[in-house]
Amino acid sequence: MKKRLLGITLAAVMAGSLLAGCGDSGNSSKGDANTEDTAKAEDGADGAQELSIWVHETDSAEGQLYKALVEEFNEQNQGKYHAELTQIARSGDAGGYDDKVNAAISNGGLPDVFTVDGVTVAKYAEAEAIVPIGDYFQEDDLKDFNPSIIQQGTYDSKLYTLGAMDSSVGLFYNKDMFEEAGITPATKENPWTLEDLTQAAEKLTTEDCYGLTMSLGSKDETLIYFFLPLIQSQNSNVIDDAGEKAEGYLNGDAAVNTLTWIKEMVDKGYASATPADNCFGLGQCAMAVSGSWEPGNLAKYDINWGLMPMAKYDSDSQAVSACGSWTFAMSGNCAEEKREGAAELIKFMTSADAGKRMYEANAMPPARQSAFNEIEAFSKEPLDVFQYQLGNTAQSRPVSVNYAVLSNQFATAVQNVLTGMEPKEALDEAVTQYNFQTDTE
Amino acid sequence: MKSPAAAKRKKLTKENWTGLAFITPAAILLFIFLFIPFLMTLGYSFTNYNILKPQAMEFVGLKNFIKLTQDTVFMKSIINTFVFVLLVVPLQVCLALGLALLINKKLKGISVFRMAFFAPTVLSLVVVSILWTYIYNPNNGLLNSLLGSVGIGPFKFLNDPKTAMLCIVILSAWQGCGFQMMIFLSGLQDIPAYLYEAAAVDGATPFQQFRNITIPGLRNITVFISLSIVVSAFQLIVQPMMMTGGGPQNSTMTIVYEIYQTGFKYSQMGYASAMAFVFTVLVLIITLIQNKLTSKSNED
Repeated sequence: MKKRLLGITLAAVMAGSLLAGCGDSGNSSKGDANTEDTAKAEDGADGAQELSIWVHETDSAEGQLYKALVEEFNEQNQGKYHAELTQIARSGDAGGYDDKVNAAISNGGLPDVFTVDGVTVAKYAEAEAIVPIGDYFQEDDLKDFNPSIIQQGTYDSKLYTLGAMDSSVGLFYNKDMFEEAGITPATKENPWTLEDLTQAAEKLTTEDCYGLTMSLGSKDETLIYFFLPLIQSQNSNVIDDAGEKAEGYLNGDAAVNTLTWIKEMVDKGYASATPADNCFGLGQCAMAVSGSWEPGNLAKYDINWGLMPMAKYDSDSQAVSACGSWTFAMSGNCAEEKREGAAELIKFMTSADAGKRMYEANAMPPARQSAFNEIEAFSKEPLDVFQYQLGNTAQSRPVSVNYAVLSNQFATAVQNVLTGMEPKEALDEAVTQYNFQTDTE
Repeated sequence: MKSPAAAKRKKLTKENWTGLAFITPAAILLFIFLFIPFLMTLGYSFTNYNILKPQAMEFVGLKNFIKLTQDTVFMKSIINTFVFVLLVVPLQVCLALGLALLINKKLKGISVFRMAFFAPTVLSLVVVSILWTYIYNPNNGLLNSLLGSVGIGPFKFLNDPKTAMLCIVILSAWQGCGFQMMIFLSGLQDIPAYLYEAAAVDGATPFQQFRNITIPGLRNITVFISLSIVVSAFQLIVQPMMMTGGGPQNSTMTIVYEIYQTGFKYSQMGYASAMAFVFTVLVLIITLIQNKLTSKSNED
C-alpha cells in the first residue's frame, strides 16, 4: 500500500512538473514573441491607436536604431499613435525571422507593420500577407526614393514596400597593386567591360595573389546578387518579365556567357573558387567584387583601397549594378482603420533622416536621394560610386513569387560549374529543377 | 461477496493504474510532439499546402506522391542519405571503441585524454562544420597543407562531387564518437577483471582476450550504440547545410535537408509533407528490420 502510494505520488509529481514545464515554455515562448526588447511606453491610456511592428535586427547598431526610431515616433505622435516594437533574432540570411513570419501567416498573428527582405516582396504580396501602400505616399515623396527601391517593392504594378536603406556592389581594388602594375581604374561613369577586368586580373595575378575575388565559395543569395547585373547588362534576365518562366532566360545566352566568364576566371587561376575570408583585406587578392558593407570590414586592415563601378558585359552592353535591401511592409492583417497610422509609421521609418542614421549605424547607402545629399561620404571618392550606381544603373532582382527557387537554382548552377559542369548543362539542369519545383510547364 | 476472478482483475487494474500513471508523462509528450504532427504531416501530404497561403489549401489526392517519383533530386538525396548511414555507422562505432580502449587505462593524466576525445561532442555541430570547412579548404586549408608536406594532393575535398560526402562522413564520425566512447568505456569497465586474469593465466594473447572477452562483453552496448547512430545519421542536415549547401552537383543533398528546403524555403509544405511521410516510412522499415535482426542475435 505504502509502495503504491509512493508510486502514485511520484507519478503525480512528475505529471505536475510536466505541466509546469509546459507552462514555463509557454511563457518563455510568449516572452520571445513579444520581444527580445519591447520598446515600452504608456499602453494607450491616452487613447492613442495601438500599432505593432516587427523588425529583423536585435542588438546590432541597426537594431538599436529601429528601437530609437520607434520611440521617437511614439513621442511625436503622443495621443495619436503608439507603436510597439518587437525585435526578432535571425540567423544567416533570415532564418529565425522568416520562420516567425511564416508561423504568423498561418495563425493570423502578423503585426501591422513588419520588415521584409526586398526579394520576398512578390511571394508575400501574392499570398496577400502584405498590402499595397503606394496610395498613402505623395508622388513627390516617392520620387525621392532610388528608382530600384520602387522597382523592388512593386508587384503587379502596385507598390508594396519601401525601405530606409539600399545596397550596392562594386569592384574594390588595391591602389598600391594597381600602381605597381600600371593599371588605371575605371571611373564611375565608364565601367570596365569583362574583358578589361579579365586583362587586369591577369596582370595582377601572381604566385601568392589572386587578381580577383568574388565570393565564389558562397552557396546562397550572394551569387545571384553579385552576378545578375552581368546578365542584365546583356539586356536579359534569369526569368521573364512576369516573373514566371525561366526557360530561355535562366539558361539563355546571357546567363551562359556570364557563367562561362566565371569559369574562365577560375580555370585560368585569376580567381579562386574557394577564396579565403577577407583575402582582399589581407592583400591576397588585388580586386574584389563586394558590397556596400565591405568598407566597414576593410577598416580593420592596413590597405589602401579604391572603388570602381561593377563591370559591364562588353562595350555594346549597358552598365547595370546590384541593389536591394530590407524594407517595411504593411500586413494584410492590419485593420482598415489602422492603415493610416501604419502608413505614418512606415513613412517615419523610411524618412531621409532614418536613411542617414542607418548609414551611420551599418554603413548601408540610403534609399533616398535626399538622404544621400546629407551624407558627405557619398559625394566624394570612393563611395560616390555607390551613389552614382544607385541613382543611375541599379536594377533590382526579379520580383517573382518563385524567387527563392530561382536564386537557389542559380547558386547551384554556379557551384556546379565551379566543380566541373559545363555552363550550358548546369543552367539547363537549373531550369529543369525550377520548372519541376514550381510546377511550371 | 467478490468472486476471486473479479478480485484478481481489480488488483491487476490497480497495479496497471500505477504503471499507467508512470508512462503518462512520456505518453502525453509523445502524443503531442510525435503522434499529432505525424498525423498532420500525413494529412498535409495530400494537399497543396503553401506555408504562405494556408487559406488556399486544397486536397490534391496523390499528386504529391506522384511528383515524388519523378523528383530526381529527392531520389538522389535518398541514395546520399543511405550512403552516409552505411559509411558513418561502422566508422563511428570503430572510432568510439578504439578511443574507449585507449583511455581505459589507469594512467596519470588519462582524464585529460578523456576530456579531449569527448570535447567535440560538446561543441555545436554548426561550429564544428564551419571549422572543418577551413580544414577542408582546397586552397589554403589545413589538411591540404599537411598532406602537401608529405607530397600527397592537393585534393578538392568538399568541392569534388566524388569526395564531398566522404568528407562529411569523416567529420561526423569524429564529432559524434566521443559520446559513444563514454558508453563503451562504462561497458568496458563492467567486464569483470577476473575474466582477463583467467585468460592471461591460460596464456591468451591480448588479441585473443579482445576477441573472446571484450567483444562478447560489449555486444549489447554495441547494438544500442549502432541503433542510436543509425537513427541520428538519418537526420543528417546541419553539415551539408553549413558546408556544401547540398552540392556539388547534389552529392551531399540529404532527405531532411531537401524536406527543409522544400517546406520552408520554397514554401511547399504539402509536397514537403509527402517527402517527410515517405522518409518516416523508410526509417520505420529499417528500424523494424534492425529490431528483428538484433532480437534474433540476442536469442543465440
